[in-house]
Amino acid sequence: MEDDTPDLYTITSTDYGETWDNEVLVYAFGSHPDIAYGRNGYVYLVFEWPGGGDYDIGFIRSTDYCSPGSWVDLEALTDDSYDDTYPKVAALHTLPDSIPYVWVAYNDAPVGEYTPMNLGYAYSCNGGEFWSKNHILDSSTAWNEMACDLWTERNSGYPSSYVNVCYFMGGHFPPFYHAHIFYGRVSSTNPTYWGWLHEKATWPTQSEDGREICQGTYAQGNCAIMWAGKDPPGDPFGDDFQNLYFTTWSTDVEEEITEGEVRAEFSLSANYPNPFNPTTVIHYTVGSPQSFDFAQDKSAVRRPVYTTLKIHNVLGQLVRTLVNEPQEAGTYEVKWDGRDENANEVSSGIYFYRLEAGDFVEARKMLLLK
Amino acid sequence: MFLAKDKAVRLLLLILFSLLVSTATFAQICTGPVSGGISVDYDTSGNVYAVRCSTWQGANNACVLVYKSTDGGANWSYLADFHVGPTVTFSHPVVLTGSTGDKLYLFLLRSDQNGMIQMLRFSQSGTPEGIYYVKAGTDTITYFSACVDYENGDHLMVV
Repeated sequence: MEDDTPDLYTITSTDYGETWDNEVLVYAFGSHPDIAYGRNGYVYLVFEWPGGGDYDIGFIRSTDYCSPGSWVDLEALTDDSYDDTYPKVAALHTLPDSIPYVWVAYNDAPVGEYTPMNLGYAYSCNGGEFWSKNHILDSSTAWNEMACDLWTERNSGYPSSYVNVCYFMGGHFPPFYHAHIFYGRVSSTNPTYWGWLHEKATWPTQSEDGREICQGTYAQGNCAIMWAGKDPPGDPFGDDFQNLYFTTWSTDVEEEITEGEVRAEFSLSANYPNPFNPTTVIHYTVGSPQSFDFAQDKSAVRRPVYTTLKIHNVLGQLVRTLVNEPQEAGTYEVKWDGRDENANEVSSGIYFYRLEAGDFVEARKMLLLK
Repeated sequence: MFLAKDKAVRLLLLILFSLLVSTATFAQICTGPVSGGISVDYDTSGNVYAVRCSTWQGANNACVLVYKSTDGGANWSYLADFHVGPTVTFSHPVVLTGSTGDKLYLFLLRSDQNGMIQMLRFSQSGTPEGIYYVKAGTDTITYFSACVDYENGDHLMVV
């Protein structure tokens, strides 16, 4: 809920909506929230928040069905000079009890401007603890409305495979009231590869707010999009949307392409030994970015990838940088001696090691026991 | 030789992919104005539920209408509606299916009382089960989001 401040509140019900608990303030200075349920009580919340003269995207997570005290304030997704607005969030649990991948998509445009209008996104491999850099899924200088919807398949049990996106590009440039509606989907195998990224419909429609007229879902195992539009090839100059339309399609063919062509070459392995004292070894693999002709990143070629491997403490503070250089594709081994940047021995406790290689980001936990 | 074969396979897949994309068909769910937004969700049986905010039978009365498809979106039928007098508008509908209990939840933002979040509960066959006020008060509410835990279906959460 958003009031004049604005603040973000949650309110919950556990009896099918018969009664509702008291509202709980979860974040000040937030607007246009989107909330998504993950699994095992985990709930993900994104929102706009004003900072530095523009809007950025905030992210918080509840570990217990939005209950008071269960919210954790995590790293903000964006902190740039553009207005990042209308975020959408979806979480992907690839195994029933696995830490989810989370994607957030949002509008991204210069402050006070409507063009170029970008559809930005970021992802996290560890439930929102750390986020990738911000990516651009699509961009337009011709249209000043862009709005997206993110959703996860959930009716075929776990593991879930994909997070889906549909987005709408349109605008108020008479007589061109056509909207372009696109669809794509992404998996944890390659968090920046959006397969099936295609325009699904071009339709006479318009809206003050495209978010209200384009939504995605599943229909008996197939992906589907619903939108509001005029009667094709009807008069595009009327005031009302006259129909609801729905389209669905199978994505089976994409499985062959994904399995045959996109290889998950990046990986971060568990350290050994763990727990350790005072030395442990970390293995990781740097892959080579690839893309298809119809994918967004047409410039991707095999090349060295800028790679960092860093140690953080439980407060998120940087303890040690082990790797910070471009690296060729291959498997690497790095030893950590339990010392910080000043060669001081660190205390016992939990530490995180985080690999960032191009678009690939992953973090793991380890325990130093003295 | 390997590269040539690889390219040929990729080209073949792309052609097949393009053919599939080009055969997409569109189903018309309903006719009538949409004012205030739409929402869609599906249940564990594969049924799909579509919602639009509109005006009631051409008059300036707010209404929300629910449609259902049992065949994967090819055919649709009217399921339920809710409407009020001319001084109120509806917006931001959110339809959610519960994983248990044959529930269909429909949240919407009413324009009265500085913005009021209301929840309508139906059975998944369209029988009205109740109208509930999630949040009403002095605060101005202009936007919200809602979700349900699809594991058990017994937690409804609104932000």
